[in-house]
Amino acid sequence: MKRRGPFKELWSTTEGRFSLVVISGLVVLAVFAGWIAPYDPYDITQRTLPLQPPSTEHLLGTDGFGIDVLSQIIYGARVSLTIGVLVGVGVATIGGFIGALAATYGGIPDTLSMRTVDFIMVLPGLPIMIMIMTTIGSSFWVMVMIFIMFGWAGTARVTRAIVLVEKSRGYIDAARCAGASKLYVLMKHLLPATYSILFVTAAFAAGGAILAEAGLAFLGFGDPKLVSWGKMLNFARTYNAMILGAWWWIIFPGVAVFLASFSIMMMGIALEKTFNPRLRERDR
Amino acid sequence: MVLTIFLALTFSFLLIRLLPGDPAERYYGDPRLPTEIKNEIKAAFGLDKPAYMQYFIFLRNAAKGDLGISYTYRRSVVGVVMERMPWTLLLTTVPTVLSMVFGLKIGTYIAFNRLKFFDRFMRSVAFALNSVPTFWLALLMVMGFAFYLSVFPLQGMIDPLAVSMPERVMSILRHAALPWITIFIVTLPSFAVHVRNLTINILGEDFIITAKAKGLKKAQIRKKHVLRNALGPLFSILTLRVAGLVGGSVLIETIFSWRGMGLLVLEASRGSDYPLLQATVLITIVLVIVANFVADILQAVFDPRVRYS
Amino acid sequence: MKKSLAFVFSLLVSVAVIASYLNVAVIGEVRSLNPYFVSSSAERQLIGYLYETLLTTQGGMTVGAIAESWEVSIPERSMTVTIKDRLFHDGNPLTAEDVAFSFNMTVEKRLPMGPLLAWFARAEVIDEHTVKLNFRVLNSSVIDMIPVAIPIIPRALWEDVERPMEFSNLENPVGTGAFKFNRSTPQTVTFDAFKHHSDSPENISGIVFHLVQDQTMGFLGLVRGDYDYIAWDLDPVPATQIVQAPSRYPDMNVAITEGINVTSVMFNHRREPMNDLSFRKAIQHAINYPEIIERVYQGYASEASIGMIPLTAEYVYDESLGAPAMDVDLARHYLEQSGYDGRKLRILVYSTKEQMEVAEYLKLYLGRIGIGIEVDVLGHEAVTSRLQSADFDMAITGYTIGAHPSMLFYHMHTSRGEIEDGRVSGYNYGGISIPEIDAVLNRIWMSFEEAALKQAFVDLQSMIAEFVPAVPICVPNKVEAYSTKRFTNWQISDADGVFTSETLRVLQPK
Repeated sequence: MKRRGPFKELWSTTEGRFSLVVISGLVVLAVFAGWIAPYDPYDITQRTLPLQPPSTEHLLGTDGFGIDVLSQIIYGARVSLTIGVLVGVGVATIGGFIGALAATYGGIPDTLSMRTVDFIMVLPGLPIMIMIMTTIGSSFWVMVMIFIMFGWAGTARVTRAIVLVEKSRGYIDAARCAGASKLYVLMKHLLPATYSILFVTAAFAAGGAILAEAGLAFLGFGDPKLVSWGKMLNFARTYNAMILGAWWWIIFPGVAVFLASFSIMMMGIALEKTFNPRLRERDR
Repeated sequence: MVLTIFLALTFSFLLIRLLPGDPAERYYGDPRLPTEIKNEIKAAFGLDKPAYMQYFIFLRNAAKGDLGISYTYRRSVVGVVMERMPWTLLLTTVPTVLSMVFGLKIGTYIAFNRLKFFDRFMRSVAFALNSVPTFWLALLMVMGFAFYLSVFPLQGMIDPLAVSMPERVMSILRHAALPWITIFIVTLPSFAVHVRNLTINILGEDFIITAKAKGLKKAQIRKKHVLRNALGPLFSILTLRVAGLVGGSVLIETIFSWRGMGLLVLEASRGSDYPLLQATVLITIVLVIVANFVADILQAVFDPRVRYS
Repeated sequence: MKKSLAFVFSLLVSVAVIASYLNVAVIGEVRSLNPYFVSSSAERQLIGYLYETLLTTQGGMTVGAIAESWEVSIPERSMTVTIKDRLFHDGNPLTAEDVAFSFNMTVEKRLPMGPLLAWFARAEVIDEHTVKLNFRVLNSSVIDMIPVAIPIIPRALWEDVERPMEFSNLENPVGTGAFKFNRSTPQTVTFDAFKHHSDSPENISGIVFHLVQDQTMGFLGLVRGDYDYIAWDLDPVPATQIVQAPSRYPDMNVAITEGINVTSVMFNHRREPMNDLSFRKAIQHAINYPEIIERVYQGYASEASIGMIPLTAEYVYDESLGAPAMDVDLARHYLEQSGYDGRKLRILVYSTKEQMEVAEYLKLYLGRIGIGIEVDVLGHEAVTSRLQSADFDMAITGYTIGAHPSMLFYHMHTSRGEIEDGRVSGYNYGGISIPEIDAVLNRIWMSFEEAALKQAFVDLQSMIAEFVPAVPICVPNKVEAYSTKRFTNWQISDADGVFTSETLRVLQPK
C-alpha cells in the first residue's frame, strides 16, 4: 500500500484539517504579530481610553489600561505557542529518550527511572510550581523548565511500554543474535517505533502547557514583561472588568487560550488517527 | 509510600535552602537588624548549624509532626493547614463523587445501548472541556450566575451573619453550590467517557460471552459481571481525580474566594511565608500520596487480578 | 405580657444595634493581632484601632495620643511623659507600669522594632501617671518615631508570654484604643466601640471588618451595599466611573485627598553619571509630569514639589517652591554640561502596574533627550535585595514622607548610605552624600523646638530643590470609596482622608 505524505494523511481527517488551519493561523499571528496587530501593546504611547467596547478602531475593545485587546491577543499568541512548542518537544524528547533507555537496558536504570516517574506523577503539580516560582522567580524560562520537569514522566512510561512490546518481537532477537549491540538496536529499531506515540504526546503536552501557562499567569506568576493571555485574565479580574461591564476583556483572552489548546490537542488526535488507521474505523 | 513522602520532604528542604536571602531577616521582616540580634535568631532556629545537621533536625521534627512556625500566623504551620484542609476536601470530594455516580450511569448507558450520536456528543464535549481553562469557565460562571443573575453568592464560604448551626449549614451549602456545579460540569463528561470505554472493553471480554451463552439475562450480566469488574478501576480513577483536584484547587479557590489549602499556598507565597508554603505543599503531597495508596488498595480489593502483579 | 414586650424590645434594639455596625472591607488575611508583627495591611489597620501609642502624627506634626504632655531633657537624654486617663478594654485602668512594661518588653524580648532598639535604654515608672523614657542617643527622630511606634499593652496579659514572637493574640486582644475586639470568624472581625475612650464613636456600635481576597470583590461589595467603606486606595478606573456616572452607582462616593507618598526617581550617587548634578537636573527637566499624572494615574495624583515634601505634611510644607516643570531644551543643555558619554543606564522597578508604566514613560522621555534606558522589572524581594546591595543605576521609589517628613533623614543622610558587609546600612540606598543637605538634616535631628524644626524643614526643601538628590515625580492621591446608603456625615480631612477618628466619631446611621 502506498503511503501518502504525512500532510495528506492529516488533511484527510476532519480533525487534521481543522487543527492544521487553526494552528497555522495562530503561527502566522505569532510570527507576523508586528505587521498584523493594529497597535503595539508594548508601546506606552499607543494607549487610549480604557475600557472601550469593541468598535471600528478597536475590534475587540480596550482593556483597563487603554491597550487594544486584539493586539494583545495577537502578541499573546507568541508566548502561548512558544511555550507549547518548547514544552511539547522537550517532554517528547526527554520522556521518549528516558523511557526507551529504561526499556532497552532494563535492570537498575529501569527501576530507578520508573520509580522517579512514579514519584513525579504522584506530585500535585500546581502547588509545587507555585512554590518553585515563589523561590526562584517567575520568568518564561522557569515556566518552560517546570513544565518539562513535570511532563516527561508520563511520556517516559508510555514510551517504555511501547519499547518493551517492540523488544519482544522476533526481529529484535534476530538482530541481537546477529551481534548488534543494545545501543544499535535502540537507535535503529526501537526508537523509530516510538516516534508516532511521541508526536502524539508532544501535541497533548503542548496543549497542556498552554493551559498551564494561562493558569499560572492568571495567578500572577507569569513573566512580568510579556503580554500573555493568562495575564490578561489576571488583570481583567484584578481591575474589576466584570463589575465595570468589560466582558470583552474576559471573554476574548479565554477564547484564545481555548482555541490554541483545543487545536493543538485536536492535532494530537489527528496524528493518532494517522499513525493508527484502526482508530478511524470507529468513526464509521 | 513512605519512601515517596521522604523524598518529598527532602525535596522541599532543599528548595527552601536554595532561597536567596537571610532566613533570620525573613522571620523578622526587617532587614535592618543589628548583627547580634540576627545571630540570636539564627541560634534559636538552629540556622547556625551545618546544613546536614539542619536536615536531620528537620526530618526529626517532621516525624514528630512539627513543621515549624508560620511567619505570618505566628503559630504552628501544621495547625493552620489542618484548619483549611476540611474546606478544600469539602469543595473537591462532593462534586467528584457526584460526577462519578452520574458518570457511571451515563457511561454504562451509552455502552450498553450503543447510542452512536450521544456517544460522539459526550466524547466531543469531554474533549472540548479538556481544552477549556477551568478557571476561565469558573470565572464565567461567577459572572453569569453570581453577578448578573444574582442566583448564587459572589464569594466566600459562609455568610458572616449566620450564627446558628442550621443557618450556617445552609449558608455553606449556598456558597458551595456554584463551585460544586462548576467542578461537576468539568469532571462529569470525561468520567462518563472513561466509564464508557471501560464498559465497552469489559463487554468485549470472553467471560461476558460465556455469561450470555449460559443464558443469563442482560440485566443480570450487567450487574454481576460488568459493573463488578468496572468498579475497581473506577474507584481508582475517582481517587486519583480527587487527588488531582486537591492539588489543583488553587485556581478554583481563587475564583470563589474559598479559603482552603489552595488559597493558603497562594497566600503563603505572596506573604513570603516560607515555612507555611513548604508545609502546605508537603501536606498536599502527603494527601495525594495517601489518595493514590487508597486507590491502589481499592483496585486490589475489587480486582483480584491486580493483587498478584 | 411584660416578658414578651421585653423580648420584642430587645429584639428591636438588637436589630437596631446590628444595623448600626459599619461594614468595612479590608484586603488580606488577619492571621494574628500581635501589634509587634504586622503581616498584612488588614492587620495593620485593625491593630491601629485596638492599640494606641504614646504619640501619633497628624498633618505632619507629632501630637499626643495616650500622652497628655511630655518634656524632653537633653542632658539626661530622656523624655518624661504624663499619660491620660485611659481604660483597657477589659476595664482595668492604664497605668505607668503598663507603659513602662510595653517599652521594656520590646528591648528585653528583642522584638523587631528595628534600629529603634539600639537607641532606647529603658523606661522608668515615676508615678501612676508618669513614665520616664531613657534613651541612649537623643535626636528629634527618636522622639518622632519611638513613642509613635511602640504599642501600649497591658502588662497583666503579656508578662507571662514567654515568646511574644509566637503569640498570635487572636483570642483576647486587649488595648486602649477606641474600639475593642468582639469576635472573629474566618471572614470577618468585629470590633465594638469602646465607650470609655474619648474618641469613641457616638452613633455607631462598632465596625465589622470584612476580609476580602482582592479589590474586585471589595468594590463589588460596595456597589451592592454590603460594605460601607473600602479600606484601600481605589484604582483610578473604577473611581473615574463612579465620579462620571453617579446615576449608575447611587450612594457611592469617592473622596480624593492628598497622598503621603512621593513617587520619585532614586539615583545611585556612587556611580557616574548619576553623581553629577547637571545630569540629575537634565533628567528633572526631561520628564513630562502632567502626562504621567494623566496617563499612569488617570489624573489621580498631584504635582510634586521640588522640595520633595508633600502637602500632607502641612505643618512644614513650603509652597513657595513650586512643582518641577518640563523644559526639553534646558534638559539637553544640562545633559551636555554633564558630559554624559551615551552609555545605557538601567532603571529598577517593582512589578506593579504603576511602577512599570512610570518606568516606560521615563524611558521615552529620557530617550528624547538622548539618554539610553533599559528597564529592569523584578519582584519585591529581588528589588529590595538589589537596592540593599547598591546594585543599580536608577530606581523608581516612593518616599513616604507625608506623615513623617523627618524620615528624609534616613533616606538622604550620608551616614545612612554607608556600606557595611556589602549592604547599605540605612534607607539611603542611593548613597546620597551632599554636605549641605547633611547639615540641614543634622539640624532637624537635634531640634526639639517647634520653630527651629520648622525652619530647618524649610531650609531642607530649598536644599533639595537646589541639589536634586532625587527627582520627585508626583504624589499619588488617596482615593477612598465609601457609601452613603446606610451612614451619613462622613468627614473629609485634607490631610488624612475620609476614614479618620473624626468621621468615626460623628458618623450617623440613616
